[in-house]
Amino acid sequence: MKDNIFFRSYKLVPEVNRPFLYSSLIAMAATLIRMIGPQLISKGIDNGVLKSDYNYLLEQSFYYFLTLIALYFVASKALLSIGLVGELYVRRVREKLFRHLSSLDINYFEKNKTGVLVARMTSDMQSLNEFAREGASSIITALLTIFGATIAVFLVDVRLAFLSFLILPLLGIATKVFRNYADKAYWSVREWIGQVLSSLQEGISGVRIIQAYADETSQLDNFKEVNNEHFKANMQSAKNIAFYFPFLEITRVTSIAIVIWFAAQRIDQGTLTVGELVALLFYLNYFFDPLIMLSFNYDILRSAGASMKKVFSILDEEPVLRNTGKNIPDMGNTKVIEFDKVNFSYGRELVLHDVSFSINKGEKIAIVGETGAGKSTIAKLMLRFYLPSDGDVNFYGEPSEEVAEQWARKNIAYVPQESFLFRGSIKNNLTYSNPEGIDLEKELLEIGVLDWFNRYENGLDQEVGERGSNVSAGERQFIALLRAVLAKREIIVFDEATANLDIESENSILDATDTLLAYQTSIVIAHRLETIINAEKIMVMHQGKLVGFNNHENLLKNNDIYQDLFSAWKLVN
Amino acid sequence: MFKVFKTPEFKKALNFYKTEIIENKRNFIIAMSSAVLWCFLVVVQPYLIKIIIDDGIVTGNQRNLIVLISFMVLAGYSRAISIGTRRYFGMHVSYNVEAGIRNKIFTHMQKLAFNYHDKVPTGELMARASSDASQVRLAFAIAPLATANIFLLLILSITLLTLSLPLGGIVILSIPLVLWLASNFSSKALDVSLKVKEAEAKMTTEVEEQLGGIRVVKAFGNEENASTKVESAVSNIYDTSLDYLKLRTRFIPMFELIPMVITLAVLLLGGYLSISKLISLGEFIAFTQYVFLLLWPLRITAWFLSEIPSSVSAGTRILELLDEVPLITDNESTKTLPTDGDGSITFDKVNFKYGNEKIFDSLSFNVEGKKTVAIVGATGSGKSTLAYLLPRLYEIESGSIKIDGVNINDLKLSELRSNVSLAFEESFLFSNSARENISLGLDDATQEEVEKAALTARAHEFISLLPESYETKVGERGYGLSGGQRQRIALARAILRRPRILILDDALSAVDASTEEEIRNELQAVMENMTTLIITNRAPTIELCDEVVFIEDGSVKAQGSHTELIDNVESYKSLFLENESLDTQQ
Repeated sequence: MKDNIFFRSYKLVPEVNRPFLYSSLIAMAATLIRMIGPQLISKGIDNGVLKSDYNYLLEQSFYYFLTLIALYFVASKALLSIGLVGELYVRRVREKLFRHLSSLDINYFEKNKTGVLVARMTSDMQSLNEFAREGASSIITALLTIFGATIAVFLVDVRLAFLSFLILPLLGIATKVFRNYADKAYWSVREWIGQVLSSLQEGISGVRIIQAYADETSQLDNFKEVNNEHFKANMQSAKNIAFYFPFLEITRVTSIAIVIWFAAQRIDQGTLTVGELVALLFYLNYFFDPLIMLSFNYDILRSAGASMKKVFSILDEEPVLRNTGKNIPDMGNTKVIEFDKVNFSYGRELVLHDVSFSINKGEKIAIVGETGAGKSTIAKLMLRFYLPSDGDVNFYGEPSEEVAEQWARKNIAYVPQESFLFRGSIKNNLTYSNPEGIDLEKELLEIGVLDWFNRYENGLDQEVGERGSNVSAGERQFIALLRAVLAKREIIVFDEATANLDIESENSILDATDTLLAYQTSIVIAHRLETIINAEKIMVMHQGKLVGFNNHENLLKNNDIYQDLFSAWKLVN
Repeated sequence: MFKVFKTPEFKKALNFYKTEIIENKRNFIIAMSSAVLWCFLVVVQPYLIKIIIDDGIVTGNQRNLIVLISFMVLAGYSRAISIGTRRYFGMHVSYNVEAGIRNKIFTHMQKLAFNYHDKVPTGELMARASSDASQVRLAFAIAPLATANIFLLLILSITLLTLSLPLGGIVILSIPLVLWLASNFSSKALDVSLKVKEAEAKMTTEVEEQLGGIRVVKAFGNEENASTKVESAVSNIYDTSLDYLKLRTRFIPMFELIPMVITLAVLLLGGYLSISKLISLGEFIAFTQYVFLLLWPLRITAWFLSEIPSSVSAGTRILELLDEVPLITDNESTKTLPTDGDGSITFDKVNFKYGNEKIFDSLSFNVEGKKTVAIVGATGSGKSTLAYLLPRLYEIESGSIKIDGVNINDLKLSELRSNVSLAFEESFLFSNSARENISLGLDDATQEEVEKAALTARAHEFISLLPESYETKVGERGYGLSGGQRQRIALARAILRRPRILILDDALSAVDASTEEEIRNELQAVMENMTTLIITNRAPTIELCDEVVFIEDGSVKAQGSHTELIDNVESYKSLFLENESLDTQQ
């Protein structure tokens, strides 16, 4: 299972496989060159220094020098190509991850906090990057060096080689134990960093409320608590390392002691030279030093593995809405939206009971009802943000399950309760649905709202801050409404979208849509009598049931619940 | 030669690191001492091997051999323990530094006024507290090891010098060479690494925004556009990282090469000396061992040095944030609000600019205590800004704002803000329980008080129906609740603290008519005890108020009762024209 993660990670970005092999080969070449050095030195000592042949030593040194020059070029090349692979890998994973995230159902974003998802794109990628930048190349080099050193040790003397590796199984056991603990620790580190970032994100985006309510201390306490959990998780991983690392040193020194002891006997017997012992000690260093390097990186590797697990937990999430339905409805059909005995629940109890109605082309519909009556849920089903639990929602006669996601998104406009604006100019926000295709000034002039933007210093080019922070809520709503109108979709759904507007602004937009988009079918969830009376037909919701669907006059005559609502308005007015 | 280490950024970062070290003194000292102990034990190793070869193997003395080998093993095991200790305490310091930086950033962020947050995107701040803080941590994680390595290099050099002057001299040459290389690399890498960090922060910002607005993205079917934006930010990281990578690959192999070149020199010179019988064979072999010992410390030092630019650039970015001076702070004045005050408000010739845009030009008006006053004006006329000025969430340019005769600038922020309660236009809920959301800023509020506030705001009924009642988590930004429900929780939050002044900024806009009516009736009793400013353009709400302050073109156009203003002020009347005509229709 754990290896599976690495295998899956490898397969995730196929385009790096070849460069990865290529760079591993270069790294291997660099390692080979590195291994030649001690060989030459050993020869130089045995045949040069010991036999007082200085010329031989010079010759060997010259060869050594050549390997050094070669090493520089090959080593930089290896570092570069492995680095490239790493950067490319991280880039592709990020791209895939975001693409996948953006394809997921709205539902997913209601369950997962933005901050946690941001952590997957940043902090987890950082741990991956750390591995790619340092780890990947070091691990390959280290593994190859160890491999080379092992062979070299055996070449020098087989019996001593066996003796020096006698203790290795102990290290193997330690590694296995470490791995189990490490994986748990890193998983919880990744869990908590998500919490840290989401708490941070909330603390930043809620900073206005926090300051207004002087709640800084308790917010900080909350953050500190989460931050401290992350710290504790980190320390758990540090503890694992602190127990594991000494094992390497113990193995090394034990192994060297064994080699020296037996080598001494052999030298005594005359079956081994001092030069060979020195070479052996060299190679053992070449064996253990990268092993220590490796354990540094093993840490990074397990941490990257935990991050990849998190990445896969997102990639394994199915975008249900996108994957169901391929049909493009026939928009000649006059029944634009039809609910047929629709039941719906978000998981717990039903919030819509047996709702049936149909809306014809060009109708202006209002949905009314008390809070919690199911108005927004109907809107979400009309947007195909959810599929009905039971019954059918038909678009132009085509059931919701069969309709292509892309069709729904390109033919239904939505104005949500919160008017979310993106950073950038007002112009960019208004032309969001079709940046190239909208002749903005002309359209605004036709609707008659171009003057409205004179209030800004830079007119339509006025920059708005994050989430529209530097324009008022009413202005935000106005812009968000216009954005949806300019999208010119067949169907438009307003979800309590005019609440912050003054009547003048609201009317200017609604009038505009009435005349400009006469073909458009509009559905408005509203609380204001003024807005509702403008509608041709009114849908009255009560406790998840549709209790009336008619025009204002008829409802007023026959519908008790509508009468109650109306008397509340009357009281208000 | 080492100019980069003398740049102000570098010095500032260094100072920052120093304070962090002081905060973690004990663990840092433990980590350092075990690192130094480790170094010492590492140096002993080849020396022991030299003695073993010279006195044990060459002389064939078995007893010496046993003693010396046991000694070597003992030293090795102590070395192992020192590694574990160093690792644990070193990590403790580094993770503590990281967590500390995050806490500091969080604290500081809360102090920075609205105008800072309007400017700097959330993702940018998140990047500093997450990836930049981790980058700084990395430097601390390597620091004990690297310092010990530098220490080790020094000891080795001295040992080598005592073993043989000429050979030692050659080896020591490598140290300034490595330092020179490192400073050369740092001066080139600092800018590039800063660019990488900026690219990363840009991507964080982009991702945070696109995910925050995912409902809009999806509603318009603009996933492709969102992905393209993020991908362009990602490719920007890629490009800058490649620049950094290329720089690294030019330098890093040199760090490896230096000790090898030194080995070569030692081999040549040492071989010559040994052949000429100027040094013993054992000495020569020990020497080569020492030189090989240099390889890894030099590499680790190089690694450390190569991390410095990244760490310094990350540290600089964090400091930039921490150095941002909070504009709105307590001043020295110790004035407090009079205990018998009834919450009268005076705006006197208030000027306020937002960026370059003039919002208020000599705005003046009075509100008597315990009155309920409607603030009316067209969309974008600055009504909400007015609400922000009273609790000093933005600083006015000139003029004064007084509550009960006390200038708000002379009050402690905590006192001011606990006396002025503001329900925002857009009700932001935290992903905590409903109860915690209502009792925001009032940790000692009892359940009865919370329920009472919720009853007044007509939130009690639906909260009681939630699965865990008041303890139900309301989800990020309150998604899952309807707009009206969110507003009612926010309203309950505002009235719970029984402020002297209550400001309702279009706080009932999403509430349905009958509930609004109920809330209004409930509120009347509450409002009798406080001054209330209601920002609204809805006639029924305005009619409830004692008075109207009508704002136009950045100043108070008129003040009086609703009917007076309708009769006398043309632009005021036009705001309600549609309403009136509708009423006559009915």
